[in-house]
Amino acid sequence: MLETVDLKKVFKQNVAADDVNLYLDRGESVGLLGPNGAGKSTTISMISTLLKPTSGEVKWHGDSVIKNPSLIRDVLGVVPQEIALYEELTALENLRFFGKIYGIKGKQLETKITEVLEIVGLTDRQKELVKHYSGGMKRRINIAVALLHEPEIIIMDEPTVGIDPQSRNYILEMVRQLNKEKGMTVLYTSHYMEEVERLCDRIYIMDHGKVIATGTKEELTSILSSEETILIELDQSYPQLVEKIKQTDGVLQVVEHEQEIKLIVPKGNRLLGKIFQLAEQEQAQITSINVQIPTLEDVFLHLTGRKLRD
Amino acid sequence: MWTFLKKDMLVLVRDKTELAVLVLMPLILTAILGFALGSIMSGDTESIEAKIAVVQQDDPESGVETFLSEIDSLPIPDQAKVEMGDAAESYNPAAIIEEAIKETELYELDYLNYQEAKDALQEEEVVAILRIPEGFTYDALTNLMLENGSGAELFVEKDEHDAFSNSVFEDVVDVIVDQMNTVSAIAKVSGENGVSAIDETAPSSTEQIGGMESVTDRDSMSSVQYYTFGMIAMFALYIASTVATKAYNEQLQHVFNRIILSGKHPFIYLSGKGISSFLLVCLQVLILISASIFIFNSFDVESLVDIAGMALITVVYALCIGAFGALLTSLTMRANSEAVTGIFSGFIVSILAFLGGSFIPKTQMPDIINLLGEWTPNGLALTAYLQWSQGLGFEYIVPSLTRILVITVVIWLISIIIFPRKKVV
Ligand SMILES: Nc1ncnc2c1ncn2[C@@H]1O[C@H](COP(=O)(O)OP(=O)(O)O)[C@@H](O)[C@H]1O
Ligand SMILES: [Mg+2]
Repeated sequence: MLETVDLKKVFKQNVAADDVNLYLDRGESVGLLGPNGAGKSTTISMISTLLKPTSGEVKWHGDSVIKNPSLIRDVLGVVPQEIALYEELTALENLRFFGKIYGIKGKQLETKITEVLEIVGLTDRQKELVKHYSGGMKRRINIAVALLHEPEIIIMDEPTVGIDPQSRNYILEMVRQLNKEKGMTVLYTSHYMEEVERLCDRIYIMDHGKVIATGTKEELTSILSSEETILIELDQSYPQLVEKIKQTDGVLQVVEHEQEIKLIVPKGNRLLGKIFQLAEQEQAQITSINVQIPTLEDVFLHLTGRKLRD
Repeated sequence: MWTFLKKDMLVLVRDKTELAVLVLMPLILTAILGFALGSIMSGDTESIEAKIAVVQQDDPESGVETFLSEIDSLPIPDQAKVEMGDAAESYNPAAIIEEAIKETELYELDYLNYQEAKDALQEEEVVAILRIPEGFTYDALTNLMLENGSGAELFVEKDEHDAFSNSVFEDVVDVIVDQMNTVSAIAKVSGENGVSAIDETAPSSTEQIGGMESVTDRDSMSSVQYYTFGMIAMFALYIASTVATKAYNEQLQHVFNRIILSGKHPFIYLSGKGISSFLLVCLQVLILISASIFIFNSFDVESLVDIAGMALITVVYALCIGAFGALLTSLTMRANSEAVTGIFSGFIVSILAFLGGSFIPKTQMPDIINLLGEWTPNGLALTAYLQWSQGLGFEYIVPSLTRILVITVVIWLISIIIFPRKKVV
């Protein structure tokens, strides 16, 4: 019902979104995964009509949203990446204000506010100023505001950035319920692959403004069906060892993070022995070694040669 | 729209420092400037005392005589003739004028012939000429008592350089003319109704002349009064930058995007800022004037007309600040920087306030600055407030108010033009 066609945004020289094609069907939960600066927010801003594309189209049931932004404004709930709230007002006052500008009034508004506060679990704290809220609570009210006008689609731009694991879990569970129990269509943006893995039916992976892969989690990881991931943990970091592993025949990708080294290698490889041998040469202590089924993280690594997060 | 205003007010109310600046600062400054510069100001009031040339071209006695012989031949009861005659004899325009002007304690009279008077005006020895033309007494009497003829006219010629004392003088003349009309109107009524009323004309007329004192009292405005208005005119400007700063914060806090997402037209948002500024200024002025009355005991509010005039000036000025609020909002959002409001509140407000006479009384500043000041909305508002509080009539404040309204419209147009319609995220 919602799709983008060759959506492109160029900022001066910087191509923030490059021919992005994606679609959302009713009731779906779709993930947009990519590292910082991949162009996720830019894409979302264009979909939500806040940003005019350089070229391309956003279509709602086949009609151009670029020409007629009002088509989509009522059906879309947008949770921006930033906390978009009046810090000086209470949660309740924020909800009242944003509800009213969406044209919700009186009793209906109060009912709706009670409902969304229930959903985000802040009924008890509704009378506190937003600026006294914790990061997680702000995020939750940020979402609540987008739910007030009962949108058909909710677009969330990294709604869990910078909060504690508990709040994060709460939000993820909330999104899952909105999607599965209320049938809301969700477009969920994140650079955490666990989140999209857990929530989303289908996933788009973005990098440098381009969609570089798309499909269900299974489809995406099957890209790596002929490969596997080896995770090596050492007692400390050994740059020279990493160099040597990189030069080893058959190793496809290598990423190191402190004393961890991650390799993508062809399935059925015989590389473990070689690795132990190299470690011995470098006098590196291997504390653990692990052969894993590929994750989306690995898919990203495979596609770009970089980790999703640095 | 109400939703926007309510939210703006709430946000401002939560900002205690901002509120303090907008309300307490002007009061403190009024106190400091008012009392510190009080002596300078009172010295200034005395210097208003000026000479007025009176040119008497009429012969009141022969005017009265002609009038008397005329009523003699009229078909009216003898008793009425006697009463009218008495009234006419006591009606001496020159005397009324003289008394009225003396009461003001502002002017000295100089009886000159017309040519001398003109020379004196040229030399700035007198600030105005009040000419009583030939036949004035007769014309006035026939017109007022018999309702014949087109009425009598006093001629006033003024020194155009000195706008301030001129406006005061014009007011004095207005009172004189009113005075003459009242006296004769009462006389006329009594002429129709019988003897008994005639005696009352005399006391009632002196009372009327005495009543002028209240008008002229106000001319010697206290410095606290002056600075109350000066600070009102100045600090209203800060409302505009406060509102624009809040708008900038809305952008920083990304709520502006949310407002746009709701499908609200950006101009509704901009108008909201204008109206917020407008309401805030009205509120601010109300608070400041009330506070000035209670704390400094600075005004006697004598009538509803007084209040209505103040309210009118305030509304017009607040409309203008509303436009400034919108302009600064537009500029801030266009530039996407707080610098705009910073420059305005830190620099431009001071300049405007200086030019407009908020710091140094207009009477003590060079003409050129006063001239510039008459193009600043705050200067115009201050002038209007001062004129009104001195009891000058509606027609005196109209030009200032009109000019403020013109400025308002222009600024609104500019802000609409530069307002960024499509926000880039
Ligand atoms: N308003 C802007 N002007 C110029 N460049 C921008 C603007 N917004 C985003 N960009 C650039 O576009 C790229 C994509 O940014 P963004 O969409 O925010 O990425 P993401 O949300 O995936 O982290 C980045 O390189 C960013 O620097
Ligand atoms: Mg982003």
